[in-house]
Amino acid sequence: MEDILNINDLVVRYHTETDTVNALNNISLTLKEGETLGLVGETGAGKTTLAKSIMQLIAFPGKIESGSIEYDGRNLLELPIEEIQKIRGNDISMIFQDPMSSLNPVITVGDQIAEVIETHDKCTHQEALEKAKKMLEMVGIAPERYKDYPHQFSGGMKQRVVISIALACNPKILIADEPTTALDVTIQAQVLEMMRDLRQKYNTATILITHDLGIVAQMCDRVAIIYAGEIIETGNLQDIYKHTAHPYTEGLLGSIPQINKDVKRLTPIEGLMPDPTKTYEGCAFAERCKYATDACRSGELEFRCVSEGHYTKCILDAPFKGGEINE
Amino acid sequence: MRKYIIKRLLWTIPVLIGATFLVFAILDNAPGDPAKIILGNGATAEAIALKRAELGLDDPFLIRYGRFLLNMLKGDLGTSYRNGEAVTSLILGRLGNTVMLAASGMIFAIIVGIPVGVISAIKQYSLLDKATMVLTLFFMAVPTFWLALILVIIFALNLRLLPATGMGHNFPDLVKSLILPTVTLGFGYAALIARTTRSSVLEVMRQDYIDTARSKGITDKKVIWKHMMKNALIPIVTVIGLNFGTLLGGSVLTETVFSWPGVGRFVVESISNKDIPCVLGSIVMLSILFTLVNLLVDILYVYIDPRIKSGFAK
Repeated sequence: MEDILNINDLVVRYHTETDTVNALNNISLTLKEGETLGLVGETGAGKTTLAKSIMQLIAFPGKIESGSIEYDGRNLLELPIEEIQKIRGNDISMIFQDPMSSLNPVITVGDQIAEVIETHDKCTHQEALEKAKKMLEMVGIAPERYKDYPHQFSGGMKQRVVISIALACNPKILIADEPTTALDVTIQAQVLEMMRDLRQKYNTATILITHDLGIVAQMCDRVAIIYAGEIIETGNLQDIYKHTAHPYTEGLLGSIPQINKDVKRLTPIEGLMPDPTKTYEGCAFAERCKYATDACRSGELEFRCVSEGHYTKCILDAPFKGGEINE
Repeated sequence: MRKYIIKRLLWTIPVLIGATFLVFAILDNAPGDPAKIILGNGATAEAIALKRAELGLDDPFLIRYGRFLLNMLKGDLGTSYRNGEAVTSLILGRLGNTVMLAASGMIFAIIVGIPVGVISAIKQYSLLDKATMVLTLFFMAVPTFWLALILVIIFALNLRLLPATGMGHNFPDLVKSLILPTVTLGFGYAALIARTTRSSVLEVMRQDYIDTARSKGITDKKVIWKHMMKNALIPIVTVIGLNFGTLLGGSVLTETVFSWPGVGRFVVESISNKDIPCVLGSIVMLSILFTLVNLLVDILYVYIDPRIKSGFAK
């Protein structure tokens, strides 16, 4: 499979009056055609910033400082805004975290879906509306409801509408930023199921952002673990879950309750992420890592190949147990 | 919807009763005897007593107020103490001029205020934004009469482009004579609208659905005017409606400075003549105007924000 999206050494910073927040530090990531990549990390790790960077939606005071995001042989960071607008919604589209707030409250859902179709397919409003109704049907909403407003829908249905907007132009890449976090568990399952079906139907490459390793195990082919604005481990599901090669990943896996094990306590990761306004040497995780040595706290860390397609930023040879999740 | 409008129209009744009661009570307690004013300083005590009886001024306050309300219902606002003409026709002849001035001031304020606010919000923290914010603050603080006089000095006396006072009789003259009062009346209002628009747009700009709109690949222009403005408009429309009262208040000063033959100037004249029926009548008319504008605003809400409609349907 070919790479469809190539992110190289991406650096994003937020400049406030007093501080500079290092949101993304030299992120490199690839997405292959048709695959689903899980992007996992705790709150504040930079997941949403990465997603917005790809869509070029980083707003003031945020700024993409350096690096490249290559799609279709072109560096998105160098394209004029008109070209970006052609790509947004048509080639790459995005589902935002909170369905309650990601639909415009004063525009009917039909018009909101039709808008993206009209923008890219150059058809009349009427044709776009017809297609919008089909999209509604596809995500399991009665097409007659196209003239209703978002406040007349439940949370799960709103997320379906958001998904239908994202998929309306049959994009090559879908970025889903915690698409189910705001939903309750039963609805979560429905929405995930639907996303999986649609993905198979259209062969859309997906970046699924989440902090839920259970969802990753269900949905993803490959996983990238992000910590303090850096990717610290990437690999396929087996690599990450069975042959964990980074203590942070191990910590994440240890924080999941498992019903089939007799464990008295979960083992949360002690401490907090480093302050993103400060710079540090060596491994970002060293302060919280129980295996850390002096060598971890100096120099610039490079990716190390563990096995084919499995990379880690940890310099230690895996003394880790790894989690066991039923796939 | 019709039920809603009727309901809102019925609400104007208590508003009018409140407004007239206040004005009636204030004028009643103001010094000076209307009978004396009508008859002049040389009138005898008997003549004054006779006049008071004729006007019903010796009746208790509530009875006089009740009589005023009853007559008002019949469309009769009494006769002027000064020249005996019917107040209704005196005011109706001037109301059109006030509405014209108020409307043109309002339109000027909207046309200037909203775009300035939007640009200021989009270019937040830029020099342009900062300059706009200082200027709007200035125009909100400047007294109407001062601004009026400065404008007259510049455009009428020095540049001789526009008439200093009065109202033109044919259309081109009318437009010319309308410009300075409109700008005087509208500037503070425009500044207020600009500031409200700015904060409202800034608030909407950070909403997730704006990111959704951008992620669809639509142009910035469309994001701003379709997705942002429709949401930002509600507080703006509220401010426009509520401050229409301030605008009418401002028209009193503006009309006086520019000798504009409207209700505002009429009120000032009537107050100095202690012509109570004329003052009361004017207040009633201006209250009705204010209420109607706010009714219009309330109806507009329903078209701007569908959530209000379904809230009402409940």
